[in-house]
Amino acid sequence: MNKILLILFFPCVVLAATISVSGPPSSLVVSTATAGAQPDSVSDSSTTYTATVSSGMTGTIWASLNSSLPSATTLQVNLEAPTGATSLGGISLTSSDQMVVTGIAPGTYDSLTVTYIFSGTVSAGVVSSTPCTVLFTITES
Amino acid sequence: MFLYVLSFFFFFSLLFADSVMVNVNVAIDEIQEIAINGTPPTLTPSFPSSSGLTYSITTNKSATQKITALVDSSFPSMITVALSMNAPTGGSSSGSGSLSTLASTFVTNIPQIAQANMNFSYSFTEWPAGYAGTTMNNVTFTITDE
Repeated sequence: MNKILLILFFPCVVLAATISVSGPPSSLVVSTATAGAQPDSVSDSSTTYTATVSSGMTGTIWASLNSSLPSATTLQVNLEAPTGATSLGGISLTSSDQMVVTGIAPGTYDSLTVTYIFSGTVSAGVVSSTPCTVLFTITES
Repeated sequence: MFLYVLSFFFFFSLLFADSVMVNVNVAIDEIQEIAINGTPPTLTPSFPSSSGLTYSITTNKSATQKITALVDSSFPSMITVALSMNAPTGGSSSGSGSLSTLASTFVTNIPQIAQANMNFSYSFTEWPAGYAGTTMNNVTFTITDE
C-alpha cells in the first residue's frame, strides 16, 4: 500500500498550480488633493502576473498583506482575470487572505495586469517611503 | 492505513498552492491646498458686503496651519475692505480684518483636515463720501504652517 501512495504522490507535484509576477510596482506616492477632499489615490498598472492551473482543476487567486500599512492608509489590488475567470475588482488588502480572482480554468495565463491602488486620508499625515509586502497565493481544487 | 491516507491528502492539498511575495513602497507627501468658490463680488455703497462665497481646504501636515490673505495693490485712499472667514472644524477664525498688500492672518489653528464650503465674505468698512471710481484688486489666499 505504501508503494501505491508514493506512486500517486509524484504526479501531484507536477500538477501543482503556480503564480508569478513580473516584478514590484513603482513606488506609490500620494502627492495631490482637490481642496476640500481627501488626498487623491495613486495607482500602478505596470506589472503583470502569470498563473498556471492544472488539468481538471479550478484555480483561485488570493491576496493579503504580509506586513502592516501606515495608519489611515489603504492598499488595494485589482488583478485582471484570465479568460473565463472572474476578477473581484479592487480589493482592500488586510492580513487575511481574500479572493481576488476565481474560476480559473486549467491552463497557463500570462501578461495579466496587476493594478495596485494606494490611498490615505489626511489623518495619515506625511508618510515617508514605507515598504509593504503583498502575498499572492493561487490554490486549485 | 487510515492515517496514511489522511496524511497523503493533507500533503496533496498543500502542493496545490503556490505563493509569491511582492514588495510595494508607499508614501504620502505634504499636502496643503486651498480653493475659493464663488463669483468675485462687486462691492458698492448699496451692496457693501459679499455673499455666497466659500472656500475649501485640505492639509495633511501635523503642524497646525493658518490662512493668510493679501491684495495685489493698495486700495484707493480712504477705502477699506475687510475680509472675514469662517474656520474649519478645530480651527479658529480671527474675525473681520482689513485687507492690505501685507499678508494678514484670518484663520488659525487648522488641524489635519479636508473640509469644503466654508463661508467667507468681503465688506466695505470705509467708503469716502463723494468718491466715484472703480478699482479691482486680486486677493491671494495662502495656507501655510503656523
